[in-house]
Amino acid sequence: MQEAPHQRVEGRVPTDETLAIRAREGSPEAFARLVERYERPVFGLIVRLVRDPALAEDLAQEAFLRAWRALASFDPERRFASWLLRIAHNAAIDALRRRRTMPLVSLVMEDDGEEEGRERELPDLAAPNPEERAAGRDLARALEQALAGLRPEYRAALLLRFGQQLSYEEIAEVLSLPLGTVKTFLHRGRAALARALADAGYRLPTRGGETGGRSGT
Amino acid sequence: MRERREMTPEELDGWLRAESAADDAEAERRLALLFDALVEPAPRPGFTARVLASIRAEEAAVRLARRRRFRHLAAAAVLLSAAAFAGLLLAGPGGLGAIPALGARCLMAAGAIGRGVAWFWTLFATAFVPVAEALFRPWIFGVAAALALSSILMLSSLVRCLEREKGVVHALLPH
Repeated sequence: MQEAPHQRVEGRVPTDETLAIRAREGSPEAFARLVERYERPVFGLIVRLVRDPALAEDLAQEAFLRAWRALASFDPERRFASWLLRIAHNAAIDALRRRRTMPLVSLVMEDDGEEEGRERELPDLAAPNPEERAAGRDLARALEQALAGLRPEYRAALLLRFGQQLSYEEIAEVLSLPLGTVKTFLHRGRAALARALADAGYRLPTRGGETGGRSGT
Repeated sequence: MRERREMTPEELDGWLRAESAADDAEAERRLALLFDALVEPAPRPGFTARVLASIRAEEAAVRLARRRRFRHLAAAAVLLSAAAFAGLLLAGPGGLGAIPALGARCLMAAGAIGRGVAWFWTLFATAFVPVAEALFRPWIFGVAAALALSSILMLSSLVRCLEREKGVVHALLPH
């Protein structure tokens, strides 16, 4: 079982920052624990930015390697997650610059295969029925596709805010942008996401509260 | 780690409604719920092991590069020292008396080169080696200091020797 990222409680489970200090002092075990904690957030951010799972895995590996090299410069007073995600974001942006046109790969298609080699959950009797699950997957696919169509800077801001639950200040640090720009990106990104969903048939509700398009059906 | 759940049309409606009503706080809250329901992509199993393997490989490469660099420095030091000593021996006593004038000129030149080499080596050992290497390996400070000291001693003896032999060489040269 993976440990949850952003562990802040000192006790049996060491914080990210504590592990980073141990890793800096030369403990590969400590770094391995950090990699286990952050492999999904880092990979998730990168794959949604570059939209190529194979490349994303290479970049995620590169990001952790860069983090290992740069551990000496890590300030334990700062949050490890922001520091690491900044490295991951930079790796993804570098790759996007190298490859201007990225092939569009549906991430939702990986849903079934991603748990391969991992423990499968037992069926939950209280879970939605198959139709509802299928509808939920359709919505998730539509959201993923709408997200994939956004400008990379909007996408990065939205992923960090809503995918990683970072604060505005932390996003500004990760993206190396002023706070105001981050807020603008998030606002515009949300609007662009809603427009993209509307274009895909998931229309904005009408003023009377009646929902149009596919979302209400 | 957040628990994954299915996205519902009502959640999407709720977000779109909040967006159209320009209710930022509610729109953010509802969009966060939608993101919660997205699949969190994961790398292939064994990712951590691959990262650690790449770190080990890089560390090994760095160690090898350092060793190689140090070997190059050591080889250069040995060659320079040998050249300096050769200059000292050739220009020193016993090496000049039995040879003709042209040979004496050559040996003087060799001595001058040896002196230059000794100077260079002194600078090399005292400046370059510590800066380049001792940053990584503190014990190299000691080695570099010993080399520097030996170079300085060698240089001073070379200079004294050449000064002493200067008269002999001049006497041998055609006037």
